Amino acid sequence: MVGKPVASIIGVGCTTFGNVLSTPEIKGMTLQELYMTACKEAIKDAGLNAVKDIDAFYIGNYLPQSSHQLSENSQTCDWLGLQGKPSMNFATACSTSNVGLGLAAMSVMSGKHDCVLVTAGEILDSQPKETAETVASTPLEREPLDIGKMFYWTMYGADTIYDNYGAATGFAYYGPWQMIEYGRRYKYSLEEMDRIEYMIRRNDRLHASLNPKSLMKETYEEEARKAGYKDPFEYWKKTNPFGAWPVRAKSFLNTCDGASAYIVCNPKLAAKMTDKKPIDILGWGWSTTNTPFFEDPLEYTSHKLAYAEAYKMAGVQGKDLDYLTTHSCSATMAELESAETGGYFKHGEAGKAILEGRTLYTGDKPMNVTGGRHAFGHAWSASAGAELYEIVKQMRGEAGKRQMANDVKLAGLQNEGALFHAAVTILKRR
Amino acid sequence: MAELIVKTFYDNLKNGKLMGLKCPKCGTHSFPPKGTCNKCGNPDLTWVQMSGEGKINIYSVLNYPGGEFQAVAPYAFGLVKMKEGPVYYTMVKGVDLDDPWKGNMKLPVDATAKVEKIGTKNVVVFYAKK
Ligand SMILES: [Zn+2]
Repeated sequence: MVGKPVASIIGVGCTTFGNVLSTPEIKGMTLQELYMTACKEAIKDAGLNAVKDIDAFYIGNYLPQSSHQLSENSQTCDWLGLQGKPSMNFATACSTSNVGLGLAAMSVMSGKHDCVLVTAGEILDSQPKETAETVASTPLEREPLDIGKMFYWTMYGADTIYDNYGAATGFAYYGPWQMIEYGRRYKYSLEEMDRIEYMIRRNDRLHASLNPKSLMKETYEEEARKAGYKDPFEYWKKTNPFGAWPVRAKSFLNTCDGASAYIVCNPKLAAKMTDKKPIDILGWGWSTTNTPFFEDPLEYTSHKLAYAEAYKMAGVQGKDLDYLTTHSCSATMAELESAETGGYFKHGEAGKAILEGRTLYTGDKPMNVTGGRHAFGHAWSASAGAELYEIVKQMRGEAGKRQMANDVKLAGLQNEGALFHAAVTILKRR
Repeated sequence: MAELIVKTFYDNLKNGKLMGLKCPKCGTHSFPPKGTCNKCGNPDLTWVQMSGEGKINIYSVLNYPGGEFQAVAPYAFGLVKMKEGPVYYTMVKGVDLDDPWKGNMKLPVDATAKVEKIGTKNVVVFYAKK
């Protein structure tokens, strides 16, 4: 039986995902201005007034090493009109803004608050100049951040006691093993698995090209054509060496800067607080694991537990969903694993569905229609909120030319944070 | 006395010994060792030397691992199911690096652990048995 709404989403906001050193829509912005831009959009979207209507806020950021900030809640409250209101910083790495839904829901379920704002933001491609006397002397002086250094900091979130001693990089098992095991179990050749990986990323690029807020605006076909290739799959194979074999280097996530925000309220008040169609949270599940994350590469322990908990609370099953977002980070192939572990596809069917175009926005089993972490861009803590933004817009029918063929009434949002926190939230249009 | 699990593990690793923790109540092993039994919740575990026997179930090949491991790349990185139960992700040797797809189709294979010095680190490497 489908469960009762435990909380409702009544407003969403999201900045363009890009680089604050170069992307016109966010160029020159500080972290506070990214939060502010996403929050203003969410507050206006709901038709609220921050001072009068919002009782509390939660604010997420994963990487203080690049923002040079801690306690973003106190540094940002007055940028949002929330001076004096209760708040906290929180982070579960790349599942942060998925977890914010559950946190906010608990706030309203307890009766403590009627209306809660959640935001998360990240700047990953640059950092303030380190030559300054004080941090506050350089809010406008940023320099590009070496991606190796950025990942070194990011991996502070992976078993720092033992993992590095196993000669691991996270990318050894997060993607490659799923690709090998999927081929081995369901009898696909390496070439066929390569094509599935290509199709996932090609679809991501197509989806992102339709989205004005995405990092990558060019389709893969356009990129291949410019490089002189008629067949984009040939371009994929010829210009894209194996990073962690059998995963290709350019199938990786693409880091960026950006922020997302949303407003969660008591489901009984939702219709009174906004004219927009409320999107109800039916349930959520979280699960945390340290290394090892799985014994079977096609069933992450934390995915299995988080999906099960979310479905139980929501009173639905994976096959009931009209749409699913999976995290699809560095692990292109975790898209197969997560969709099947989550029951959106039966075991062994996601690969075929991807090859047949069923997961496109025009398909009957759509997935990751923003372009995901590869093409919409990955701003660690903010990314899940960008996916939520799209779910809400799609459910309301506000997605314009990228509106899905499926009428999305019930959707799943799955994310994971380094390393490893899985979060699944089930959303239903009222 | 402070319960120094991490130091005990690494000090023994230097001498080629794989030390794990075992739950005296339910028999579950923890490797590399963490402080509490995740099966039954028992907080009082005892040290045991692991056999170093296991099976390699799957492996990828790292071309650009970075750091100290770049010097020994490319190498295989695999999922090992240890004889005592724990799953361990680590460097594996004696598997097919020329055709890793074919190599993976032949798994699982029995393997034995050896501690090897790579850069400044002592690494538990599992060798596939011929
Ligand atoms: Zn036990």
